[in-house]
Amino acid sequence: RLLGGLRLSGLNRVSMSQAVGGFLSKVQQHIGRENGRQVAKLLEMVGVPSGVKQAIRAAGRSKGVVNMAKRQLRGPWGPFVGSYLVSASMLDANRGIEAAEAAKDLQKFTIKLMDTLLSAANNADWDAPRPGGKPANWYLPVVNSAVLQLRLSAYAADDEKGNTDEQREMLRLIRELLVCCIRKQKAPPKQSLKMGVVFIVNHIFKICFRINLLRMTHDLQRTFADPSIPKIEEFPKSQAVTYKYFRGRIQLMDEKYSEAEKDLEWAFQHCHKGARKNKMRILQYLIPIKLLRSKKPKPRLFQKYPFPQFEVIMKAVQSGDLKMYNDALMHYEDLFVQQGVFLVMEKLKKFVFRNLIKKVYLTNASISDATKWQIPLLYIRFALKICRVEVDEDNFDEIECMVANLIYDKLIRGYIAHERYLVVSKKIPFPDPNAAPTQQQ
Amino acid sequence: FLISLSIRSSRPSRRMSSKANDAKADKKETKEPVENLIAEDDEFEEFKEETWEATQEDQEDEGLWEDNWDDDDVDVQFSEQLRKEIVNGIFVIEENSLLFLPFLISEEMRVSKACSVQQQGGVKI
Repeated sequence: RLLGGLRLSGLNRVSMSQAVGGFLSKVQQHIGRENGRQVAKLLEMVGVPSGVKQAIRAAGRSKGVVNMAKRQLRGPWGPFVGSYLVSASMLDANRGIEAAEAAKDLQKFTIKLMDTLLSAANNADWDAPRPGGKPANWYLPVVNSAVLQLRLSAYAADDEKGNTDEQREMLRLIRELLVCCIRKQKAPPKQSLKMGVVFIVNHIFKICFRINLLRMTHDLQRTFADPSIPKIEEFPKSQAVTYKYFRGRIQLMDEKYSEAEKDLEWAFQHCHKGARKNKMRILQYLIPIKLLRSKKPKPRLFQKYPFPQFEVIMKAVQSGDLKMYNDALMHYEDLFVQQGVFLVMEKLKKFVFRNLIKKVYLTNASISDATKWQIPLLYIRFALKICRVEVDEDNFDEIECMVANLIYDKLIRGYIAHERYLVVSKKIPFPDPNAAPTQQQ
Repeated sequence: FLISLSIRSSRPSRRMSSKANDAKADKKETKEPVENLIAEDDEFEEFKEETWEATQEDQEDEGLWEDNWDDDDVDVQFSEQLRKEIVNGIFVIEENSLLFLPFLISEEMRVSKACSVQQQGGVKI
């Protein structure tokens, strides 16, 4: 449809160059009408008939497409589209290293393109509305396609070479594009290149997380301290959701659990309902934080989004079953470490113990209401035995240590009578964990 | 003073955690299913659409979390097991109020234990 019914029968050279020529005409048409989304879709081969696609890929691999693009497309668009199609075609042919080489040219031509269009916007008369009615930053979707191409080329090249050199280099190159976007511009913010910062930062985040290079993620967030950049929620949903997912993960690593919860919850709620895998990825980080903040996922959450690893830990915490908890933590250790949530899951241990002691307290109360405030440490030892946890029989040091920590964390109100009792407060012996100060990190 | 006697035979001291060996064996057995959970390519995907309306979002997902998960109902099974442990394990004599928990050793044994503790002059729990 995008190519107005151009058909390709057989791959002979004349038809091939006709096919590519026809494609490039369509691209030029959309450029002329400032249809950024359509240009991006064409470049990403969305809706392009397979015969035409084959022709373009062939022209890309032979690099013949570069001259064709320069001939048919005006100004900086020629070299830009040419280098894009070469990189994409190499990537498509699994020639990662060549794709990355072409991507470096693409980066240069992207800067050239942005410079040219930005100058035009800065020199324009902003008292009059733009002819054609499109915003001055209409080409941002095309920039997004370019940055995506840079990122994927780097992945492919490094996968071939077995290191992270290209990805690191691409981080540097993509950051240059980010700098282009935040320069002072005449256009009002929503029409300026500042509307490109979120998707560019998202691409950078993706590389950072992939190669585990996280130190630059903090100063990337400082980009948004600029008051002329709109709030995240004012950007397109796909960009805002992605950004908050990554920012949430960064805050989780910094142990800023309250902020992480806000971001991940927002991302989860506003994620497109069809993007199920992304929803699962968000939950992978949101659930541990919710558990740490003593908020239990309802059963229907696990029915809709299965997470056996979290479900068993949650059961263990709820029932105060220390053995179930320890076993689950060990069983899923590799998974938790790989996902970066092991520390959070380990922090749940104190809640397991708190709930176990509460059960001992309730049992004790049912035996003797008069002395329910005095919980013999021996009973706690019995409880641990019931949970099939091995425990020191010679003294109560381990138990007293764990109880002391719970008192310190304000999960239990009381004091320890050495080697005899845990004496709890008559008012609220087991405060709501949500109110405890450790949650306010 | 308080006296509590354990008539259980004493065991050697052990760490308060699951035995490492058991856990490792566990791990080997059930390693396969866990590996399936680790996705190879776990990168947040590009969305198909740039933006969407609220109607394209899951509305029901808002109420998925419970604030308070404290179960004030007694866990009956646990409670019974704990009572059993207590009953089988100890008796407690408090100075002012006699608190005898029924247990299964003979009267004779009970008396002799109480005497021996008194003789030792100790208040040991």
